[in-house]
Amino acid sequence: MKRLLLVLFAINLVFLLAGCQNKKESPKEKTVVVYVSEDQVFSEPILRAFYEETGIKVKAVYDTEEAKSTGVMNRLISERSNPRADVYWANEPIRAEVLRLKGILTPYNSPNAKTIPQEFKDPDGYWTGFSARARVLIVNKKEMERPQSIMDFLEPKWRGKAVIANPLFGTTTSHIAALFIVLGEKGARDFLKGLKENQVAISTSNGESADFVAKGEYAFSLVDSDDAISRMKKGFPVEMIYPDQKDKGLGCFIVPNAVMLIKGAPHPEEGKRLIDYLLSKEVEKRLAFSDCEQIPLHKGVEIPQNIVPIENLKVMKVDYKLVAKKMMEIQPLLKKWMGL
Amino acid sequence: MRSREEWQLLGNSLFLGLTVSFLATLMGSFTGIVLFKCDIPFKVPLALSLFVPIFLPPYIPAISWMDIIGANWIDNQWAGFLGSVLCLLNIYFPVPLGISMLFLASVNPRYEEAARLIYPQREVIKRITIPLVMPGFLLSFFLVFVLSVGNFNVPSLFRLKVYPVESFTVFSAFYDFERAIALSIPLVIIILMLFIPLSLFLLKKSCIPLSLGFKNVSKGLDLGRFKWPIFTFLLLLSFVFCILPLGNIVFDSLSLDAYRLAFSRGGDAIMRSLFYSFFSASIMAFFGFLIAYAKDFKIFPHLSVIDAILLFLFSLPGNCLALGLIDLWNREYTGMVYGSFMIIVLGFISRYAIFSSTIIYLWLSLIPKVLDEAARVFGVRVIKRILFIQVPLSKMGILASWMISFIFCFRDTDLVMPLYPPGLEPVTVRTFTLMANGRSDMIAALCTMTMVVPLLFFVLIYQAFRVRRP
Repeated sequence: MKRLLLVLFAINLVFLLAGCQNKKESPKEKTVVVYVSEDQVFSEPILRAFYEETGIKVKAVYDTEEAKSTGVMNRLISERSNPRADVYWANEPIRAEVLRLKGILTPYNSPNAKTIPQEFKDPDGYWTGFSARARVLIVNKKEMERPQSIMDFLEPKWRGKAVIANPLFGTTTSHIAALFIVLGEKGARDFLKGLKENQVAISTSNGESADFVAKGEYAFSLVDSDDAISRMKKGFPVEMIYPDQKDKGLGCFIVPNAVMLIKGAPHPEEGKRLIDYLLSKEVEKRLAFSDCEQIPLHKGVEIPQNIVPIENLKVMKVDYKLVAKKMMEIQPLLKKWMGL
Repeated sequence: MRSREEWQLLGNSLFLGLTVSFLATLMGSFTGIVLFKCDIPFKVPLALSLFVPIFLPPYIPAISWMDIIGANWIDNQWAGFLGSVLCLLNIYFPVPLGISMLFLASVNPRYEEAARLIYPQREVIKRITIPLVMPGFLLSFFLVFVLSVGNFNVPSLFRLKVYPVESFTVFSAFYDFERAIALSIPLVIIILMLFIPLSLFLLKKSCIPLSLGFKNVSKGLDLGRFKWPIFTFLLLLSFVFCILPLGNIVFDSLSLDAYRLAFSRGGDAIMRSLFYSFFSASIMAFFGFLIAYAKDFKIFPHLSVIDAILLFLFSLPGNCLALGLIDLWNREYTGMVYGSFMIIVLGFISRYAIFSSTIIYLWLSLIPKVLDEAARVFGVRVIKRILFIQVPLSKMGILASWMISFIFCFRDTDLVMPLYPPGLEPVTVRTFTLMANGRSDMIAALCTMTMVVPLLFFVLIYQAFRVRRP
């Protein structure tokens, strides 16, 4: 028994020492704490490159859309009285607006934000967009016809053949909120009603929707472009369609990443340097050439051939502030619509 | 409980919890008895294959089952219910299996030997062994019930409307922390209501003495004509609960490059998980023993309040508990704790300390008080009585509680996800965040490592434990 206790004690001690080492922050070592809801696979190499370039150590908390980004959003809200993060790298700007309304952000106008189009940044500098994803249709290639618009979800020929992610979460909520802006209250409610009537299935996330289409269980879905691209790169028989690109079409809903400085951040200067770095053309180029193939918002950034430049896309014209406000308004309606 | 929907949520949650706990206890206890007492071939590989799913965070078997079943059932609540039952059975089946084997190991062999003089072996099991290990079955039922009704991942993936899913929705879509907590209260009340009669029943059973140093070695009951059908049943269980959902993961990981990449992306996180779990489980075993001892010997009044508090914390959804801890510890003077691994340890202790205090208390209550009293009459001090009587006699209980706490800490995701300090994530969180668009073979390798590493760790500890045995 004594021997066992000794072994357990020794293991505890070794682990404790291992656990404690390098955790003490030296006063000279510069550090930045960043909360990230962009997928870790894509964001981690960027943050590593920032460290290599600046010598500022990056401590990151990652989250994922599959977890509905609850980790960092709720954490930022809970930590409001004593903030721990310097920067939040969000994978969309709508929840950045939610944080702004809750008083969690502080404005910072990065010099690198000047050349980013006005519609993709907050006029007061609370958040700035960069490298965007598009909301696209992922279609299984075995289908003879190709949907071209999100209104195809309502077409009788696609009855029971389409799937959409739970609109209570992630970019799908933002997209639905954007539809309330562009279609008006009645138009958007009719759209939601039409989805139900046309037996559109509900998945738990965009990733799951993309998987269902990739496996041929559904004909098409509305997902983020990185979800579609990753399935295409894995060799599934799917293709990606930018919806509503015709003259009178609604346009494609664009979801830029958004970066913001936290109010009361413990390392504000390092935070600003990280924001400058993320908003640089170099980072946009890296993200364009990475597996997520995100669309740069700066003009003149080198991109792979298969990416459509933002200026060649018919983009859904929405004010992200209004979308955020609408999103909070319609959440109870969406919950009811989901039958919850 | 104002609306019809909330009653429906409660009904679904209870129906799911009761179905899973009934089936898991029945199957797990039966399998435990067969593996521990009977002459079944390939016992060790069968037992290992049945235990493996417990090492994985619930979302991994859940995603595997989703892949196997497919999406055709997507809007059918009954199919969602059956899918949830199957998946939760897969995840929690090892709990009754392990507890029943542990209790079987504690049965005094002299009772069985005496009964064997009169009855055939099968009757001995029915009349002596099963009644003696009944507290273990009830404890299993209760634990599986609490774990099942509190699980969010599985019902969410299978679109079953239960309280944890509703609570998560309120929490993540509306950022309404107070309502998310309020939604978990009805289930917490039901769990507490179940716990009270269970505790009273277990206390009544405390007159059954333990084996007290006699090793319960089974000669292997001859199952006769039932041997091969039962063996086939166990093979089938192993296939359904291990090979079918997890074989695919292991198969996907079969490349050196996948393991190299998984190690470079997740090796540090695995080490951290081992550390967090080891450290937390050790602290829980230590304090669990002290609480159990104080309760067993009625040193302080009203100690059952501690159980009620621990049970309340265990029954709360992990993310709600995490935000409560953030609120409590993210302050100017406690920043050192909140910013270090200690916050994870505190989180684990808050959530899982109920295991150690309950299991060790149960074990201590089975040890005859006469030994301690005799030592006390001879003037032996309390510390010596604890160290030389209670600890040696309850070492199996302490070890079991430590192992259970370790496993649950190692596989935890929903508590640590909102809680871990920047750059210090455990492997379950790392796997989860890498799953989004990460290489599938790397994720498979990371999952395989997550299953194998704690198993190897247990084997190492077991070896260390075995060395001193004569």
